[in-house]
Amino acid sequence: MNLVFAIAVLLLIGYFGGRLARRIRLPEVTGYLLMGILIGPSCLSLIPEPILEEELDPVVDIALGIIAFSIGGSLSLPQIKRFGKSITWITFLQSLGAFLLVTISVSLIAPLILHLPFSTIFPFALVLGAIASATAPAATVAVINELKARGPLTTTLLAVVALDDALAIGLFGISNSIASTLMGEVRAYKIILTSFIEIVGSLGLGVCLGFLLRFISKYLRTDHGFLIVSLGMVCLTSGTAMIFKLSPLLANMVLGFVIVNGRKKDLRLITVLDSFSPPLYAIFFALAGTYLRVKTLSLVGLLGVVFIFTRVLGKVGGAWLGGCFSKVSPKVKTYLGFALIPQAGVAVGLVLIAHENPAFKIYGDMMINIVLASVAINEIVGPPLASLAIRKAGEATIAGDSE
Amino acid sequence: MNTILSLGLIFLIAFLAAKLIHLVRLPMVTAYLIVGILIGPQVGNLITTRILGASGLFSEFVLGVIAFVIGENFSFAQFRRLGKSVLWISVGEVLVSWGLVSLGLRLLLGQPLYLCLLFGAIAPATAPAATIMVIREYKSKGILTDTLLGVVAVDDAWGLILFAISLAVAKELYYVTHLLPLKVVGFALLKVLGSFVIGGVLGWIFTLLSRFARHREEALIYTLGFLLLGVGLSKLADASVLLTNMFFGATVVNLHPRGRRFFNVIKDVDTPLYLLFFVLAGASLKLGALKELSVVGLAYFFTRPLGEWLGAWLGASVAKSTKLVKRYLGFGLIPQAGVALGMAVYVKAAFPEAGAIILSVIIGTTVIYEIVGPIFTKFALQQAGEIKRT
Repeated sequence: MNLVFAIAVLLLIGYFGGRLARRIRLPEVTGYLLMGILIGPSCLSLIPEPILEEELDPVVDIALGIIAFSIGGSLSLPQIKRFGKSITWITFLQSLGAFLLVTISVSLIAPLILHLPFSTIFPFALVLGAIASATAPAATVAVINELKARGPLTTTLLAVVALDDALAIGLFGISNSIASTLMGEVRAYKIILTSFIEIVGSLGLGVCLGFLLRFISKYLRTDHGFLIVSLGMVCLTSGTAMIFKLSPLLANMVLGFVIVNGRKKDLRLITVLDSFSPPLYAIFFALAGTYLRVKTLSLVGLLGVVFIFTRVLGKVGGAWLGGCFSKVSPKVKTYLGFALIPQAGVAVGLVLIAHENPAFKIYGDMMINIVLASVAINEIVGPPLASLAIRKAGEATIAGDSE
Repeated sequence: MNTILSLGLIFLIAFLAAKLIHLVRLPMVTAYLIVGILIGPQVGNLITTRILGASGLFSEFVLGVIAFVIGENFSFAQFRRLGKSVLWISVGEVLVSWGLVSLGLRLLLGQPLYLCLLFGAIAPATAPAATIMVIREYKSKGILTDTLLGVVAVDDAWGLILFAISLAVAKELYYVTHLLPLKVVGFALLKVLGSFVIGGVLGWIFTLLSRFARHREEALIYTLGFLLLGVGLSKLADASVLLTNMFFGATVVNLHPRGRRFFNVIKDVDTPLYLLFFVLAGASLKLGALKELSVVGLAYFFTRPLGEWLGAWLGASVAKSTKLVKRYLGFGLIPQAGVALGMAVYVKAAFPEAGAIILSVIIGTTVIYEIVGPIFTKFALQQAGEIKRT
């Protein structure tokens, strides 16, 4: 099978998966993902692994960059200010909720299962907790786009998934360095510094390139021009971020943020990509499906179940609590947490970093299995929940189940 | 330098170059090609080896997109209007450029007959990508535009058959193999036929299942998937990507009552693909080959456009096309790129020594044809009055 063929298969199978999912009232994303699992190595192995794992990398990177750019592009300042209080409260509390609940329950239950002392388990639980706080913006945004959702919950949700990313990276940096210190590693401060640099650097990069893009866009006239420049800048941002080991996601979010809060004409930079991106998303999610290792589900055991449940509980509870403090409408308060379940690339990236940390020599593989299993479940269960939450809150402008 | 950064730079630099070249009123394609040369491995080295490595596959994909878009012009209505001109002009162009190049090399330079035939066989190949890009950029509309689009697409079928015949005869002359030329010609016909069958069947299935693709986004994913399938299948069957997808497009436009919208969704988003296609094409042009252009190369270089023009003129005369088409269509046929290179590589496999000469000539001449060709295409369209503004 050649690469062209592989992409054709991903696109068409993903397409029919998406249609099928719609028919049974599930989000398209879920259809793409399930089809990906079906044709991936866990099931039919229709597409050879080298193609999946290397050749299509750029497609994934471009899709992620565009997704991040469009998230940032949906955060206009006036709107954020309107919901500023609830966004702040909910972002912090849902993140902390997942972090604390996972950390506490893992450090209480794991010693019983693994027969290890609390002191060696705690660092491990701390890092898992930080990883649990990450959400997956891509799936959430795909659901929002599909439902053409608009309203207080949608706006808050977009802002929360955007900010949550930075928060998760920060939280992880701190936890990882505390854990290293507890395990007797000396370079702990370096780890905090690294994640600090990652956040600040990504923000700085996004701001700089955002203003460059604003300048260039003065000379744009046709839709084709907007498309090429927009695409070029997203690639440039991601590529530069990768070179300096920054977060392409954060940098592109900031890029979109700078654009949406600039001239009105520049909004075209964001909207032109909407016409270009659907095939990329289809490939992206079908491909993501092929990465989901269904087999890990059987390996994780009780600890994995604890991780998955407490994470969801923390997210939903945290969002609810945040909603209470900021006095949002009952609908937002009740449903927002359910839209925060998806979990993907950021979590996987973080667990891979933790795996490289010498302090976690013993648990590295277990940690990876737990997170991968959780990602597999949350990626599939998350989007339908998010779709449900948005529809329950009455913010879907086209009903997801109209056929 | 990672792949994504390299892609970003390609897009932005090429965009800038297109803006600049607009000031001197040259086509964008030329700018993209020059950017490709400048940031390619020979000069700036800003394109990663990974992108260069994938450029072959990517080019076939984009050719598939182009062929599909061209296929839209083959609706029955259009065919009734222009079919006669397109057929005669393409046949004339292919035969005359083949004959003129072969004869020129034989009579002027006294080259061995088989070598002349091989050069002649490559001469008719044109480059639809460059043509369509120029038409798109200047929003050119009219009889010449439509005829030109038809010719650059159809001449591929004739060219392929003629190439196979010439190759068989040249082999007979050189190796005296007593290999039945019929068999070789049969294979070429099979290749053309195979492309038509794959394209037709794909178009039929596409039309059948297309009722599921309602929204724009769905239509885009759906069409792109089938396009890629066409490219993948024709590669698998060793058929012609260009012919397969062209016929796929032609089938859709004729079978599907609202087929046009599937072409429109593609046309909305394909600019970045073309940009990348031409920058990569530029990056693979071997400037060094220009220095080695021998007398043979020069003879080929000058006789080919002459043959194209004369053939188009003859064909147009037979088909009684308008005066403007007769006079200027030939100028639109100068670009030559991937198809010719592919043929030359094929020749080299069959004739290691003579093939090396041919390949180096074709590599050298495509550099000039690709860069100068679009300018002539624009000239032709402009002279025919089909460009409203420049």
